[in-house]
Amino acid sequence: MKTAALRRLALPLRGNMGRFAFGFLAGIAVLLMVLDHLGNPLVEAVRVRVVDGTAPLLDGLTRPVTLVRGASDAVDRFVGVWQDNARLREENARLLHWQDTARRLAAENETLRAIAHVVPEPRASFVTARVVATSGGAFVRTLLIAAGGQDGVAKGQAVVAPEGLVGRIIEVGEHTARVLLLTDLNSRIPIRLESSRAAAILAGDNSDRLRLQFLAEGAEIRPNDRVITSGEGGLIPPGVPAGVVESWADGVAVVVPLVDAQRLELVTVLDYAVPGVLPTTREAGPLAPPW
Amino acid sequence: MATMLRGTATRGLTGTLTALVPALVTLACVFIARVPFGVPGLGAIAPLLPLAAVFFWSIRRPDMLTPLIVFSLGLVDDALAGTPFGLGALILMVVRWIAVGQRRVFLGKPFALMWWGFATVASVAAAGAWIVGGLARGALPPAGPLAVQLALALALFPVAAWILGRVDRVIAEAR
Repeated sequence: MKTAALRRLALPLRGNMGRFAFGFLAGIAVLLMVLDHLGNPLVEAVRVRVVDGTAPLLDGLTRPVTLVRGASDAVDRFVGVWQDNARLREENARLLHWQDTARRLAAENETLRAIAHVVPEPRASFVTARVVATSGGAFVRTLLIAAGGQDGVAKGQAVVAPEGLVGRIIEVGEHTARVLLLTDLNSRIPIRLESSRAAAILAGDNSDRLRLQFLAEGAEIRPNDRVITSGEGGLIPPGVPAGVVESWADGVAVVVPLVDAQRLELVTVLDYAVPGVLPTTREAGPLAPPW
Repeated sequence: MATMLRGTATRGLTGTLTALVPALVTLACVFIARVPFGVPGLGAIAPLLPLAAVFFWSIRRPDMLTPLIVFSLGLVDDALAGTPFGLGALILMVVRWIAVGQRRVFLGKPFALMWWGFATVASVAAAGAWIVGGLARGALPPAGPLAVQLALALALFPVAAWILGRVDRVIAEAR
């Protein structure tokens, strides 16, 4: 009797509490979004902490997945071993020819560099890390990798796969880092067309294709032209292949990325910094008047 | 809450553990949605898996999936996916709110009705996320991929609901 009365009393109260909790938490969610949009460092810190905390779990989940994929790949390879062998022999013959050409060009290049007194390119050091999560959504195109500040990963560094450029680092935790893929809406990479050397910006729009922006008027561009990084900005090494021009019509160049980010297992983060491009305070020293 | 307390009193540890199952299953959905399986097409539909789980548990076990739990799960999802922090939390809470409000409509009715309900809620959630997410990032993403994602998630909802239904039966037996 007493409990029934209590429950009668408590029922609308619980409803109100529920509504209050919903409104309160929804308000916090909106507030977080606004703060995140404004680039609040606290929100970023919380997000990085959450990712760092869950990364070991995700890493544990990806390992069996990798194992199964490896096993199924092995079966595929076994089935196709004859065709593969024939194809590889043919490819090997072609590559030997390319090797000759490359050796000749390398020697020639070295001679020309010596003659022209070319300043040597800074060497990139790198770390290779496992992909532990993909955003896979319609809103953002990012990857989480199992390497972070502890491993020398820093914001802005280029991320590559054997096929070419994957994206760049936008957020760094202790043991994890987030990669902004080329296909993301906010991705802008300075590039050149390999054949004509025309400069442009490679922009993503959350679809599977990329667009070229700010391509010079009258620049020579053809389908199947390779798009390579220009190295402008000094964080991404020049000459990393990023995509292939698919079509060129009405001033819109559509580019197919070389890397399928959905199938990546391991990526390499390049620590390539042209000295002086992003000076730390220590390196920059005291500010002197320019005259 | 009252049922939860009663469960704890009579069943002790088992009761407490079963009460955690919906939250843990939804958390597993959040993780599974983000793990790179490398299966073509899976990456496209996976992000709506947590949405399906929250919808399902909000109808069957709303007392076990409280607003705070849903909010936290949404934030974990946002952190992993890199979506605007708070967007996923907001979307999942709205889904819970609608589903809990309408749960009597779905309880004990044929599955088709629940499917239809999920279609409506998921569409509203996707449209809302598209607009709010677009505002938060300063540009509306193309709607195409989102529409495909939604259609695939709707088509596969019966499979997800069947699996969640088995888990729900285990919970019912444990109590």
